[in-house]
This record gives sequence, structure tokens and C-alpha cells, in this order.
Amino acid sequence: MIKNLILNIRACLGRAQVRFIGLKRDLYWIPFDVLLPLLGVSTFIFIYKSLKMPPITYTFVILGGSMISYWLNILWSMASQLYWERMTGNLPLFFIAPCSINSILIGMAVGGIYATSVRALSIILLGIIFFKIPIYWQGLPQAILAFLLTLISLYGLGMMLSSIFLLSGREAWHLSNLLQEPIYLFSGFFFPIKTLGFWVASLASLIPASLGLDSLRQSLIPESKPFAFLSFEIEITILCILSIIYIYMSFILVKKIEKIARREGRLITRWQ
Amino acid sequence: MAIIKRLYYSFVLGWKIWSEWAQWWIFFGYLLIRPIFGVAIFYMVIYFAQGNKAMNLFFWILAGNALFQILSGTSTGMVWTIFDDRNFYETLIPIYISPGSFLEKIIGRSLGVGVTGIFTSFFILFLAFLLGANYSIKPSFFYYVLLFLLTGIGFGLILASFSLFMGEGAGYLIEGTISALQLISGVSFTPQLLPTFLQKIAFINPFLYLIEGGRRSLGLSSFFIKEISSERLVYYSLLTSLLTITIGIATFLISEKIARRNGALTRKTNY
Amino acid sequence: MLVIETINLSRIFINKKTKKRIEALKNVSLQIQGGQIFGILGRNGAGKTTLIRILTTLLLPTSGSAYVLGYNVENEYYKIRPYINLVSGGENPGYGVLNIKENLFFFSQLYGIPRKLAKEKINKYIKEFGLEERAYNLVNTLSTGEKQRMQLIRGLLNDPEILFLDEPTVGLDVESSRFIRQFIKKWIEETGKSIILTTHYLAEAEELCNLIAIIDSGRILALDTPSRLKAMGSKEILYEIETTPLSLEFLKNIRGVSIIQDKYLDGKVSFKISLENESLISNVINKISELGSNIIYLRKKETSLEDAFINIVGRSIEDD
Repeated sequence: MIKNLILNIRACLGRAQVRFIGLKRDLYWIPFDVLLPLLGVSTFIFIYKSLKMPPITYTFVILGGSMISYWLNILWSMASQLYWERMTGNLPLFFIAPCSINSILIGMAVGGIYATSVRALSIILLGIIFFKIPIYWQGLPQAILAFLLTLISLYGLGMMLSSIFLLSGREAWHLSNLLQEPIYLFSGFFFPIKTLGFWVASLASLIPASLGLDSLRQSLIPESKPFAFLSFEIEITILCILSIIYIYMSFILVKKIEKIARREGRLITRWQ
Repeated sequence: MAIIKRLYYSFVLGWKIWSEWAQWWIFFGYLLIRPIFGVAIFYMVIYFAQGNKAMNLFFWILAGNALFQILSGTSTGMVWTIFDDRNFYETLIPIYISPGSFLEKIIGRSLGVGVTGIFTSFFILFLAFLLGANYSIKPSFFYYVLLFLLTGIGFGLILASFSLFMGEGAGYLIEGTISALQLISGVSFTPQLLPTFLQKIAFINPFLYLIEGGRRSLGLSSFFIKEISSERLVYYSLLTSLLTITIGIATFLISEKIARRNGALTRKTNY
Repeated sequence: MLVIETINLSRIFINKKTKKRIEALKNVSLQIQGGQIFGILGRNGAGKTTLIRILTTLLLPTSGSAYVLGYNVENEYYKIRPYINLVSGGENPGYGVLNIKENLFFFSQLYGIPRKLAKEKINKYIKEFGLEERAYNLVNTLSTGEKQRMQLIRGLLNDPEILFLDEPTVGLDVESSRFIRQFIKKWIEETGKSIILTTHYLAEAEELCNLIAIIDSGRILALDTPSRLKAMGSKEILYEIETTPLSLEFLKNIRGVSIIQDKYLDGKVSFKISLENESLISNVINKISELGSNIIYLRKKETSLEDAFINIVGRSIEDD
């Protein structure tokens, strides 16, 4: 039992280390991963400016922009990552190793969270410098709590998606592409989800980024309370439940999918 | 004749690689979902700010984004073609050493992807109609579609020249450049809102005039550069297109030579 | 000790578009003892890799069963995995952004090898495989031979009881192939562990394997030592003889001897004969002496593994 736990911790840290080294060695992210999302979200700040909206809406957008980094990381570096691992021939080696594939996925998540947090913080910092966004720093402890819960449930969802994407071939890339804009909409990356109406916003709450972002906005922008979907406490409770469900589901799913993949030979097929 | 044949076959190949990963109806749905949600996001942002009082601005934004899609779709296709061919399909070398110029084959391949940019563009405009946009399409609209396509090829060639030497960075390059260009080309908001130094860049940016010309061909009134007549914009836009495609071809041919000299064509990255 | 056993193992793939069934393995029954190199020889598409994939727990059989180290590949796969490893030729797993040492360390962690021990092992093997100077180079910059050496090190990191080598020398230069072959032989001698090797290089199979299974169209057609397989190549007894000038007419008078080939060159006669039984060769030699000619060269022609393969499979290993 303990031996097995140590094995999986080592595998997890080993996979996370790939991301740490990548971040250090592949420096493309500095100009592009930080500036690029900032450029993307700037469009919405300028639209709010043209509509003469108050600066708190700029904070809405910047916080949404930093959350986009995580969502993109989930899509491209978690969900479709196993697809890339298959393309490079790593996937069969993950499966013939004694460690659980979940430990590798958690390793990816840990590495991804670290790398993406650097990017997300840079976006917020640049947002403060360029757009002078107002932030209520006293709300930081609450924001950190909301943020951590969001990440746990979001990466749990990412692990689930990884398993599902494992069954797909080239569609994995397209699925990731396809899941970008709908989630931008339903998670309210550029506007409060309350605007979507109660029922749509309730359904959208299944995506951890939606409630996570809403609670982050509540804690860091007190003026945003009227635009909040649910109270901070309820949102935190739901995020806790989502974290447990998604992580549990990802463990169940990965076992099932591995069996299907072994039966159908999907672990070994490369180009499709 | 041989050039046209090669262009055509490259185009068909590009289209097949791009589209045949799923049943045609799935692919078709895939092409529709992104623009639908893109439009919905803009709508929600405006609705959150002004309710239904700023629909004119909404339709103005949609027109800009629709036209910009042709340019971004074609140029993005070009960069990804080189990246995928080299890193994943491993077909860059066989394509490169086959008869005919590399330039023709790359243009043909990326046009296969670029046509979906036109489709997306028209679909966004169609959605705008459904939502009540009062566009009055003038004949010059088709002239602008063609110019956007040509400009997309030219701009794509410039970016592809750099991507010949890059790995994953090519993706960042294209996304970053396209986002920056979108910001300073009056696609979603008037450049007067930009900080002063960016405003100066925006107004010497030829793509700004191309987008504006395209919008006027849809019968939309101008939010800025009102002093330039629509006729003059037609010439400005033609000049922009020709200039971009000339610079694109020249840059690509030079880069191809350098890439061959320093072995960049065969270099692969697999992180 | 029996390390691998398969009983009527079959695997069918169905092409989703054409609905075509491909029987990659048909009722394969094998028993492989440990401490040896067991070769699976076959043409491309014969079913070698499918068999390896089932045995390495990557693929489930459609019917039949397979046991590795006594564990069922279907439901006891997690008990098998700590004791096996796989190295495939022509594939380059790993991360381009990492160097050789970092890549190997990553793979060692999938087996839970303690940090210090993993690093010691990696250093030892890197030295042994002559990769010291390249140890800090990103894997993207390595040659094909260097990449394959790195892959072999990766396969050895967990000290596997069974190392599966799927065409390990495919596409490699002569020197790298030789290095890998020599290493494999040495490793088996030193550790007494087992290697399951698939290959379509006959010389490689002959040089390395204690036992060879010849597979074609998903079936095991023969299984024996290389020398016994070669004996299956032909029932004919062939001799090549070279003498001083001589008329070969006399051979027609010896019953059971037939001429296959003859050549007259530079005052010498070279000929190849087929004998119905081994004792006839003394008659031939005596007759040559009686006719006053001298034997310059005489050799019994051994059948090659290639002859055996053609005889067993019905076509050459290189045929498409």
C-alpha cells in the first residue's frame, strides 16, 4: 500500500517536473503566453470602454483572462495531452509502467498549475499596470480559497476530459478547439454569469470556472456583489462538491477508459 | 497550367487533411459552433453593459469580426500547415522535394483551410441578419472578400516565413500577431480608444482601412476615418492587398532559402 | 521457469469504416521458458507486434488467454507491469524539451525508482552505452542510433524480468545495430533474465535467439532452435565441389546423384550436386580420383535460415 503510494507520488512528481523544466527551458511563453491572452481580453476592455462602463468591468475581464489561461491549459495540456503523448509514442510506456495513469495526470495538473499560475499572475499584473484595474486586496484570503477550490475541481474535470479524449484520435485536437468559445461564454470570462439568466447560469455552474470566477470577482471587487450569481458561501460549497465529484469520477473513468482502449487497441494507434 | 494544377491538388489535399477527420456533418457543425459562440459572447458583453440599446455597435463588431475571419483563417492555416507537415505528418520533406515550387504548394494547402475562414465569415454575417442587422450588401463586398483572401495569403506567408525556423513557437507567433492585429485594426472597437502610441500605429496600419472598406461595402456607417471616402478606401485596400502579398512572397522565398541553408526545414520538435 | 504462456490466443481488428475483419493472431499457443532470448520472426504484418502488445498488457486478446510470469494479461495486468519493459524500434518516446538524463529520470519515476538509485543507474548505463558526451543534449538533437541507445537504457531502468524488444534495430546503422545486439547477448548472460525479440532480420534472429518462432498471417508455423529450423530448410543434401579438368559424365552413372549446376573456368570445374543419401559422397570422391582429377575444394552446403523461412512460410521474408 505505502510502496504503491510512493510509486505513484514519484510518477506524479516526475511528470510535473517535465512541465517545470519546460517552463524554464522553453521561454516562448514569456512574450506569448502572457501577452497573447492579455491582447485577447483587451478587446473586451475596450468594448466596455466604448460603452462607458465603470473600471470594475475591466477587472471582470482581466480576472476572466487569467482564468482563460487555466481553461486553455486544461484543454491543451491536460485533456488533449494524452493524445499528444500517444503521437510521440509515450502513451504505451505510461500504460505498461506499474504506476497509475492518474498519477501521471495529476503530475501534468501540478506542473500545469504551476506554469499557468505564473502566466495568470503576469496577466493580472499587466492588467493592473496597463488598465489600472481596481482590486480590493482585503478580499485576498477569500479569493485564495475560491481560487484553490476552483483549481482542484477544474483540474479534476481536466483529468476526466483526458480520459475521454484518450478514446479520440485527431478529433481530440478539434474537440479542444471546439470547447474553447462555449466555455468562454458559459463561464462568463468577460461578463458576470448572472447575465445568462438563472437556469443557464445554473447549468453553467457545472463548469468550475463559472462559480470560481464569480466568487473570485465577489471577493476582489466588492462593487460586483449585485452582479454575483449566488452568495460567496454557496458558491464555495458547490465548488467543494464539484471537486470531490470530478476527482472521484476521473479515477473511475480512467479505469473504464483504459479497459476500452486496451480492448479496441486505442493505446497503440498513432495517426488516425 | 502546371502551376494551376499543383495549386489545385495542394488545395484539395489541404482541404482533405483539414476536413476529413470526421463525418461531413460533424465537421460542418464544428465549423458553426465557434462563430455561434463567438457572436453570443459579444452579444452577452453588450447586453450586460447596455441591454438591447447598443445593437448597432453589436452589428458593427460582428461585421468587423466576420471580415477579419477571412484574413486570420487563411494566414493561420498557412502557419499551421508548415508546423503540422513538419512535426506531425512528417510530409514537409516529401512535399518540399517534389516538383514545383514550395510556395505554390503551401499556398494551395493553406487555401484548403482558408476557405473555411470565408465560410465562417459569411456565417457570422448570416447570424447578424437573423439577429436583425440591417446590412445592405454592395457589389464591392465581393471585391473586399477577395482582397481579404489575398491579404490573408500574403500575411500568412510573412508569418510562415518565421514559422519555418520555429517549433511550437509558430503557434504563439500566429495567435499573438493575429490578436495584436485585431486590436489595432478597428475590428471590435474604434482605435481612438487605444492609448495614444497605439492609436498612431493603428492609423498607419493598412489593415484598418481594409476592414473599414469591407464594413462600408456592407452599408455600415463609419465610426471613424469618416473623412476618407469609400472610393478612396477601395484603392487603399487594393494597395494594401498587393503590398502584403508581394512582401509575403518575397519574405517567404528568402526565408525558404535561409531555412534550406541552415537545415531548419528538417528540424523537428516534439515537446 | 515458464515466463510466458499463451493458449489459443487470437486477436481480431475491425476496420470501422470498411467493417473489414483482420485476424492479426490466430490461435497462438506458446510456452516460453525464462533465461533466454526468444525470437519471433515474421514478415511485416505477420502479427509479431500484436503478440508483443498483448503480452505487454497494451492490448486485450479477442479470445484465448495469455500469461506473463504466471499472471493473466487480461485482469492481472497490474501485477505484470512492474516486471516488464518494452523497447520498440523506429519510435522515439520522450520529451524534446528534456535532455537524455532528464528523459531517463522521468521514465525511471514511472517505476518508482528512488531518486538516488535512479540517477546512479542512469549514469552507469549512459557510460556503458557511450552516451556520456551527449547526456546533457536535448533528445531532438540526437542521431537515430543515439536515440535508440537511450530507449534501450530506458527499457533496462526497472531491471525487467522480461524485456520485450520490438524490432529494436530497425532503421539503425551497422555499428549501432551491432552494439545493441552485443549488449543484448551480454545482458542475458549476466542477468539470466528473458528477452522476447521480434524481428524480420534473419541474421539478427539467428545470431541472438535461443529459440525462434516463425509467424505468418497470425499463426505460429514453426518453433525451434535456429539450427533445427535451418535443417527444415531443405531435405536435399547439397555439395559444392571444385576439381582439376574433368568430364562430369561419370556422375550420371552414379544412382542417386544429380548435377544441379556446373561451371568450367580457368581450367577448373566447379559443380553442385544433390545426393539422395549422405554415403553417396564417398562414391563421388572415389570416382574423381579414379579419373585422375584432383579435388581443389569440397563443401557441404548448409541450408540458411532464409531457406528455412521460405520453406516454412512459402515466400521470402522480404516479399511484399
